[in-house]
Amino acid sequence: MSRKRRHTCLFAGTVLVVGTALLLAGSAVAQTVSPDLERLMSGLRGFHYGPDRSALDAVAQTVREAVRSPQQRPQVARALMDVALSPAAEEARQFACRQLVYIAGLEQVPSLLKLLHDDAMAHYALMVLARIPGRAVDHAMRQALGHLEGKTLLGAVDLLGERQDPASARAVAVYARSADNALAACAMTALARIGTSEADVLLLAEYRRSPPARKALFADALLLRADALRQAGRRADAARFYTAVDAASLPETYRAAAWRGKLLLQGDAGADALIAAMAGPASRRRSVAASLARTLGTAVTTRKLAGALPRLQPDSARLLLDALADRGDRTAVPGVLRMLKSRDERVRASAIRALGTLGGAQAVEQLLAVAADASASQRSLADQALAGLRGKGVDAMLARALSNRKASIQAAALRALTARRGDMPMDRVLALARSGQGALFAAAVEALRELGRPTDLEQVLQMVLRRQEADRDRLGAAWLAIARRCPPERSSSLLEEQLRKAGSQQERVVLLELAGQLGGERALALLISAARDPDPEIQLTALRALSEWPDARPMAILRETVRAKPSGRLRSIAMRGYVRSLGLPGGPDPMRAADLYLEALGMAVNADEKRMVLAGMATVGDRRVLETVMSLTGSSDLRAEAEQAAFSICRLTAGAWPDETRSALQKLAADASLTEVRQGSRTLLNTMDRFGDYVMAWEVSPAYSQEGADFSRLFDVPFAPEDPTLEAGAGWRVMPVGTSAEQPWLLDLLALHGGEQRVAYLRTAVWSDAEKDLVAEIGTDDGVKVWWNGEYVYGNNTQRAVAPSQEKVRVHARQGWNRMLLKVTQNIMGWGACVRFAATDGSPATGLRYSLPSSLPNGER
Amino acid sequence: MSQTRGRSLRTQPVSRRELMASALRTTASLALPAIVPASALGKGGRKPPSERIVMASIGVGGQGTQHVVGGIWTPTGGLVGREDVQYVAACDVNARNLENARRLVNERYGNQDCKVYRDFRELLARPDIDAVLIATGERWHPLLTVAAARAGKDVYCEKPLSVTIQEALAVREAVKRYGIVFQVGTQQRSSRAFRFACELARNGYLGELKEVVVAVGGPVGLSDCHLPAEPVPEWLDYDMWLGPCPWRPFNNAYVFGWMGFRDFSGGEMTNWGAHHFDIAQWGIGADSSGPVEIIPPDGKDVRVITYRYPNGVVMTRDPERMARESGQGNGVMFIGTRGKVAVWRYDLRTWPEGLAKVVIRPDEVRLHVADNHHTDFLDAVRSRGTPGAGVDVAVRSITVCHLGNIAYELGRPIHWDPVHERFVNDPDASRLLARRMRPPWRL
Repeated sequence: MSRKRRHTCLFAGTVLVVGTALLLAGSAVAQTVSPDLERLMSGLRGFHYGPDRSALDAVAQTVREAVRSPQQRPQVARALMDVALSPAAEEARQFACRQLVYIAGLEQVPSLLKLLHDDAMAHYALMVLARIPGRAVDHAMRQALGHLEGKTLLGAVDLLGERQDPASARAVAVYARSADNALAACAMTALARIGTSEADVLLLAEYRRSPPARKALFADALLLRADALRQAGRRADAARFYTAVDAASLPETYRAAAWRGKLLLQGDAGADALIAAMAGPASRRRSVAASLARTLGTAVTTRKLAGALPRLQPDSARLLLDALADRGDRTAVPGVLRMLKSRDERVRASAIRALGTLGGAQAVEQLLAVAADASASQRSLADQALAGLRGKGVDAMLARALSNRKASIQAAALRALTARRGDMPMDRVLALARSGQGALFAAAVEALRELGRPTDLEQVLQMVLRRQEADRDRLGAAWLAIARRCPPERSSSLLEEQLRKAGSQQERVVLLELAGQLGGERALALLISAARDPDPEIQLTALRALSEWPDARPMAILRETVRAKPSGRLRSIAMRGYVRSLGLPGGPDPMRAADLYLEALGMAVNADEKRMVLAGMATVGDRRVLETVMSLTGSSDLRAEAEQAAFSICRLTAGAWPDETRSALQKLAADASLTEVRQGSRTLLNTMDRFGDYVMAWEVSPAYSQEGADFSRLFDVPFAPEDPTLEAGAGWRVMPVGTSAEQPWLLDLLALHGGEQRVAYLRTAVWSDAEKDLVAEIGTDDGVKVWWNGEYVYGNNTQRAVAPSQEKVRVHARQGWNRMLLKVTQNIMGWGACVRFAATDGSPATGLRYSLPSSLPNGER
Repeated sequence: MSQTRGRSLRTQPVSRRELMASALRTTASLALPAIVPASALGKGGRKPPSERIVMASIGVGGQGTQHVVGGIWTPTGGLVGREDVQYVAACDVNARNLENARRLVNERYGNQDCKVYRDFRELLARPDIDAVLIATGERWHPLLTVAAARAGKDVYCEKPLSVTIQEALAVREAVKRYGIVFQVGTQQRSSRAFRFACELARNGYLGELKEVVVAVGGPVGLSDCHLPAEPVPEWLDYDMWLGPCPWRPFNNAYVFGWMGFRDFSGGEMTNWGAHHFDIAQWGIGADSSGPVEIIPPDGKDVRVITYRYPNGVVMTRDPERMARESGQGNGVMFIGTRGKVAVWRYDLRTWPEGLAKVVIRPDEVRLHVADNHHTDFLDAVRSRGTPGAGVDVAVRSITVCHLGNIAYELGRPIHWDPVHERFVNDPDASRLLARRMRPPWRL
């Protein structure tokens, strides 16, 4: 032992003696405990596992305060220690230890050592001992080791390692020879963590003397120590440990880790070994080498790695190219560029990817060549690489390439500049779009679509009108993209002006098609006017656009056309558009839609048109619609469509009109020609049987949200259904039910509306045979507000999953119809509700029935 | 010793993929035997075995199973739906979960090949497994990751990474020591919306970044597990379920809601926090750094927990503010001197609106691009690179979460040294960096 080391030990020993004396003295001093603290601890002593955690919370709070108060701390620690040593229940004593983790001091050490011999408490005592600062703890632990056994001994040895007690090396080394593998490995790790010269000697000695089968158990400890030495700059010492592991016949994982450590010590000098490993067959070492190639050494290593590329087999070359890309050192670029000529396609692909990360202007020319002429997959990779190239001069080189003699090079440069949002010479782009063919034309149009300026709008429109039909769609899309970047009136007025000037039917058709895709009030007016044009081709174009309009505004002109044209193509298009418009935003109120669909069915003149109407009717929850659709299931040419529509309608009517729905479902289950309809009908019937006493006749509002308000704030934001003057216009529709076989009672708002941070309302009418008090048992995901006969009666602004009877709300029902309104908030994920009524004594409610409010006679609404 | 001798299976396990790659190369110059099945050569839509990564799971509960077969929070189709993965085994202490996973995997593959294990050590001893997906609950994540690293397996580990900072640091050490590929399951790193929001923040489109608002839930309460004992179900190995945690009698609520109990979890600070604090770190540019001061709410001047970064950025956990300003109660909001961006799963909103249309140019800061978290991991397994949510990122991000919990626990400001990853002159906070594992478990 060196003089310095001996001096340190002597000093440490002195401290330990003093510390131990303090411990003993501290434990002997009589202490007074405040009445408040005694009361708290009394509560803790009486704690048993159970739902009430108030005693624990109170103690935990006091401990947090004691952490901040040097005066309180010893007193609270003492009181907790008393509980831990008391005959209280195990859980109370363990909790006391958990709190001692925050505040225990040296005074508690002797008592904690005692607890190491108590199986129920030993781990908890170790938890506390681990956190008490001071070498006196280590000394005491060291003394205790010989008296411990089993898992507690292992925990204590590990703890001394974690605490890096320099005086414990010999004490823990003893256990490295234990027959218990876990304890022996633990002792080796402890030695590695202690990390003194003495511990290092012992660690290596124990490793060397251990039989081969044990070396694998100990290897991790040596690697741990070696890594620590390397990070501390003690290269020679680290190398000894790495070499010990790498030289042994250990599993490859350990050897590769040791080899990695040695290379990290060598830096640039390790490059050759790294390359040799990369050149070898697939192995753990090659994997580690590929990882290390990203960070090892300096630019010297980079150059060596890049220089080695041609000598590697394709698999290894690809690995190294990926590594060089991640390494981010442009020194590698010349070597990577050479690999573009590799005979192996996958190597070339890796080289292209690497250039995308590493390459600057020096890579542009070769990448353009690949992007222009290589296979489709490599072309795509080269495009991506060019799009991501960094550094000065890249954009300028690409712009120069727009004047290259080869069209394919020009096209590649255009694609790259577009993706890069580079400085694009737009006049050149317009010229290429005008004259280019094939890939060059496509690239030029794409550039216009992405980067075209408002000033280009008219020129591009002229190209749309002049180019051949095959190119028109692409140019039209580019024009629309530019138009959408302009003020709306500019593009629509340009269309209007061109329409006035248009010399041919074909030009007018093109312009009207653009108007249809552009949208907006002026475009709509142009189309409505064109729908009345004497030229059938113009009418056809306009009606096509109107029938695909995104909202219901063209409904009137489409209906007018259907009624005016008894047959033909125009009628067919108008009919399709009209039926579609009935279900679009701005269309009829869902309740009114039933009438219009029934009318449309009457207007349909052939099976195709009837099928169109049936598809729309499938979304309407109305018993008249259901009855009509069911009547068509007997029709030979409409049977399948009618069955599908009827089944869809049943989902909407199952709650409000259960009898009619059952009747329809039974017929479908027995007779439907479509297997899925028969099976679905049986399932829905089964689900309806399990509705139980839940209320299933509901109407649902649209979903509402508000700028800047989450579900919790929306809880108190009133929307139309809460306002008696607006409620009728709230857009109520029938709530689909029976969507979940597992939760038949669930009103699934998520399935209906989807989304997050919003609210929706549900309403129903409850008929009571007499005036009485009822309890509404409500479950919701998330929060809920309840109104009963227009009066707000309950609210809970919460977030949760839905379950039956989460809320019990007492309401007073009058004889006859009562109105119930729920507001249900949506945070994230699930969103739904369920409601049933009980009598006030908890028994099922009697004398009730339910209806959709909008189905009540006018006087009852 | 020659390379060939060095790869003796008896003494030096080589992963199955490495072995197959080598074997195919060796036989490439020979005529292939007629009996090699087409599927083994990658015909019929399957990649050849040498290119498939052989995977197994440890932990096949809700999230673990979603990883295997696909689900709401995991890539469509899961691991068994991928052509580049051969999923071979599952391990769980819950026999019901295990059987369910076996059934689903075998149904997907149309065979009976999926093996199941109750003890992870048996699974990790299999030399044919290249990578494991760990989804057990954070109490087990560090132990399992370290054990897998020692076995030479690459690891996809679900979040949260750990219950303490010290455990996270141990994971990082082991991952680096054994040169394995590691990814943590913070899949927002593989989302275009989150990446773009961070790129806006990093490239000055918001002006100088001043604040970050993180909208996640808070910590669990002060108390530990306190619930009454219930009979241990026959399908559960409860002692193994607890693993390194302090022992307490079984209660169903622990197994199905461990995130509500401090012995098992850091609560929402580490659950959703692992996602959104991670994004905050990404956007601040602190993936190899972290905050220097953490100030818990004091009921007076400091309303919400507040982190200060060395570059002056202030981060708060303030779901109410995010909801008020963006309409979203769960996500991250970056606020600069000229604009702000709020991002959540999986959309974003900018002020001014035009920021949403910015295209990040090549010479700007461009962050790691991934659109599928499984793919990002598997690409890294093949290339031996680092996935977007690699171990350095994972450790720094979970540290931020744990630091918040420690500040909450102590109820006073704490100072952190992100360079040395330790507290500044604070013995009381330092006590909370680690927790003794229940012997014999140790890192």
